Formats: sequence, C-alpha cells, structure tokens
Amino acid sequence: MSDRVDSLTDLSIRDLGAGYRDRSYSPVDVTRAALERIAATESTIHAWVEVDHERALAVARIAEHELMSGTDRGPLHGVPVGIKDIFDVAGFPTRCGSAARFDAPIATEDANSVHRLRAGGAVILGKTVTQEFAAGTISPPARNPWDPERIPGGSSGGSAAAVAVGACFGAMGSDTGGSIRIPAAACGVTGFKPAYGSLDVAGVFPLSWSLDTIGPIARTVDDTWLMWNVLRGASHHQPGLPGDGPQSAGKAIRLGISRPFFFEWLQPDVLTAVEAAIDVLAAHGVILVETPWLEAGAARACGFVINRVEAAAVHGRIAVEQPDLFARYGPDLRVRVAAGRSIPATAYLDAIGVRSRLKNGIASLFAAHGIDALLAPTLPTTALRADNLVITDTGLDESVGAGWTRLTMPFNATGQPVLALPCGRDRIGLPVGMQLAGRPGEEDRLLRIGREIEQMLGFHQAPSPLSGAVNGGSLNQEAQ
Amino acid sequence: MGKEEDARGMSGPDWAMDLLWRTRQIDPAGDEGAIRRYAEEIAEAQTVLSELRRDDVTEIPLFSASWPEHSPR
Repeated sequence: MSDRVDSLTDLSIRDLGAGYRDRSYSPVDVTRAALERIAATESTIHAWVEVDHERALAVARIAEHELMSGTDRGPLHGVPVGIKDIFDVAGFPTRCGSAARFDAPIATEDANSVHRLRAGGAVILGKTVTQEFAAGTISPPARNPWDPERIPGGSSGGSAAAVAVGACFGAMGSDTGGSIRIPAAACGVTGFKPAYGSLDVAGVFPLSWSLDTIGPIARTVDDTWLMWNVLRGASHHQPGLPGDGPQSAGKAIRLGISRPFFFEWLQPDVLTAVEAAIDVLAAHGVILVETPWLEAGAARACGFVINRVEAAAVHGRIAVEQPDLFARYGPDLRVRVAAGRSIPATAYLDAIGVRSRLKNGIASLFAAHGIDALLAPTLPTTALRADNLVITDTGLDESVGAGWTRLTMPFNATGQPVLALPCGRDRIGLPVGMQLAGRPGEEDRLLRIGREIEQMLGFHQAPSPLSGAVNGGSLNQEAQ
Repeated sequence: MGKEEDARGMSGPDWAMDLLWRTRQIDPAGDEGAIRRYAEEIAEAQTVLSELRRDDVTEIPLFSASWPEHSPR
C-alpha cells in the first residue's frame, strides 16, 4: 500500500481496487467517504458545479453488487470521479461555466469519454468547475487547496482542486493551451494531455477544434495511467504498472532540456525547484541532455493564433446573432470572441501552415539527441492570489492568460502527449510542477518514464491539502 | 468588414485602434485595456511567426497527430 494513507480517500486507485477485490473496502463506503470530503471542503475550494449524492451512491451499490457477484469492470470499477463541466454527462446540464448556458438542457447522452469511464464502472460524483467555456486559466469560483486565497489554475481548475483535496480519485479535464497541465501544476497533482486526436472529444464543448484534447487528472502517475487505459478503450483487465514489460528493463531515461524559452522568465522559486528536481533526477541516473528547441516560441505563437481564431469562430454566431445571450458571457471571453473575429484569415492560415513544420522540427530534435522526452517547467510562477491576478517576479510584463499558457501551449501546437507532475515547492510551500513532452503514439512510454521520475522526486506522497478537514472515512474503522 | 487587413500589418497603433473599433461593434462594453492587450498579444505572436524561415514551407500541409513518418528535416 502507498505511504501516507490516512483515510479511504487518500488511497491510490490501485490500492483501492485491491481492497475492493479482497473486500477490505467497498465502493459504497468509499463513495460515502468522497461525498463527506466534498461536504467538508467545498465551502472552501468551490470545486464542484453539481454533485448528485443519490445517484453516485446508487451506482456505487451496483458496482459493489457486481464485484461481489464476480463481474469485474476493471481498474476504475467503483472508483469515484469528477467530470469537467464542458463534458456531456447524461442527467446533468452542460453549463460550461457560463451564465449564457443557464438554461442548458439536461444531457441525455454521455460524451464518449464519459461513456468509457461509466462502462468501466467509475462512479461519477458530479460536474467540476471550469473557466467559462474552457477559455482561461483562473476557474472562478474554484480555489486552490494549498491556499484558498489563490486560484487553482484552469481551465480544468475544479477537477484539479477536487483531486488534490481527495474529493475524488480522478477527474476529467481538457487541454487546448494547457488546461489540464496548468491546474495540475498549481494544485500539486498529475495531469495527462494525450496526443492530439488520441481520445475522442465527441460530447465535449469545443474551444479550438484543431487543438482540443481531453485527458485525466489524478494524484499519481499510476492513477493517471489507470484512467488513461480505460479512456483509450484498453481491455478491462487490471493493467500492470505503466511500462511493465521487457522494453523498459535496464534502459536509462534520457531527457532533453531546452533552456532557451522554457527556463527563461520564471519566478526564482520555480527555477530553483525545477533545477533541484533535475539534480535529483541526475543523481538517480537520468541522462539529461541540452536540447535547445529554438522554435518553441514560434510553436507557442502558432498555438496562440489558432486558439484565438477558432474560439472566436465557435462563439461567433452567438456574438453576432444573439447579442442578448452574448452579453451574458464574461467580459474576458466577450473581448476574446469579439476581437478574435478581426484576426485576418491570412494570419490563421499562416499559423496552420507552419504547424507541421514545427512538429517536424521537434521530431528532428528528439531524433538528433535520442531523447525519450523533453522536460520543462509547467508554469512560470506558483499559484497566484485570486485578489491580485498579476504575474510578478518573472521579468516579463504579461497577462495571466498569456503567461500561464506560455510554457504549455507549444505542445498543443505540436500535438505531443505531455505529462505534468509535481516536482517541488516554493518558499511558502506552494506546488511547483514540471512537464514531460513525449512522442505521439508513445503515451505508454511517457507514462512509464513519468512514474519512474515521480518515484525519484517523491512529491506525489505529499499529504492532501485540507486533509485535516474531514477524516474521509477512517481506514482504522472501516478497513481492517 | 470594410477594411482590408494583412497579417503582417497587425502591429502598431493603427492595428490596435482598428481592433478596438471592430471589437466594440460586437462588444460595446469591451474594456479598452483588455482589447489593447489582446491586440498586443496577437501582434507579438504574428511577429514571432513572421520571423520563421519559410523557404521550406511551400504549401499548407495537413497536420497529423502522429509523429512524422518520413525522415525529419
């Protein structure tokens, strides 16, 4: 069993599954514990849009009955999860964090990804807070479990905050410019953006269709791996650890580091923490190679232009034809949509045109240096105060929206899979994250590397923030 | 739109004023500071893209999620 487990909601998904199968724990007890954790923390972190206690417990009872009667749906059977409120979940409205969708109808079908989770036996607790239409990095009203005066990041901020506080074991997010990785970094959890196109986005409200990607947020790489296996439709058997198999035996990890772009304009504490993590990795035998990716800035610019134009197109008809409804949008998104409609088509086509070239460029970098993944900080700062949304101490004057996507967006342009995981703390204890960008189609390999690095760094073992707020179902009382 | 705009003309005070005017047609309450910041960010992105060498970009290639199968350049 994992270290530092104080309650049922602190268990890993793998340990939880083992406990279900040897009948140490039951899905009903664990779902109750998760609901208790929500009740104890929600007034502080505001991570959930809607929680359906009765339905969650009903599904948990079915899961329990199935397991008792020998039906095993796999690693997420009976595991409580949350779903970002841009995904359709049958029985819930998809309000996308927007007052413009106040009267959104109840969804009658699940998004394809949600369908896979449900078919895999997951217990859907409810919908988590998103930045309006997934366009931004703040996620109001959600707050950061490490310091509720601070933002959790976004746009999947509710999902990351809920996972960090132990209110669910995993949650779905979406990532168009960093919206899985950014809140994962700010909240000290793990987020995985698979390669663009590798998971079906049907039933997920779009932000920018040629960049939109969905993926899991969980507390550890192994939990993320288990969710990824279900999401991609792998067989329902209990998978081994990521990378179990002959291909991983005895081969040193080789990581690239691009100091230009990715190690510039960072808060000193972030730079210090990531450099310290690199030293730890080197001490464990990881080979670190200087691999300057000189087109990273262009990749970020490419993603930025595509993102802004496509988002304006998605919402453009409402902006022009339904001004009263458009007036319900938040001011930031209104400007983004209205201004985005004035970007010339030539600018958009230029960005589309260079995208393949940028991907070829980073493929060349991987090939020339023989690296398994590129390592970079995820955010230039730690979590910002909600009452002072200004980026400071990086040396750059930039908006939060631009600054917090600066290091993540290049990989949306290239479409690579990227794993974000905690790698340190700043001087006041806020999480610092790193990201590992791998090769498309080699998500399993990336997750194997990520798990090894996670074990070397050890930050996944930090206690859940606000863990003292509720016992979450005592292991001593409920599990012998 | 009434005004022809070239991607390489997306900078300077004229671009910002033009974007402010156009944005306000759709969002009359749009904050001027936010619109100007938007104009700056798009202009910066466009400048970075315009500095890329383009001699090996002869057409608009389709983007594939998979890693390039041919030998990378």
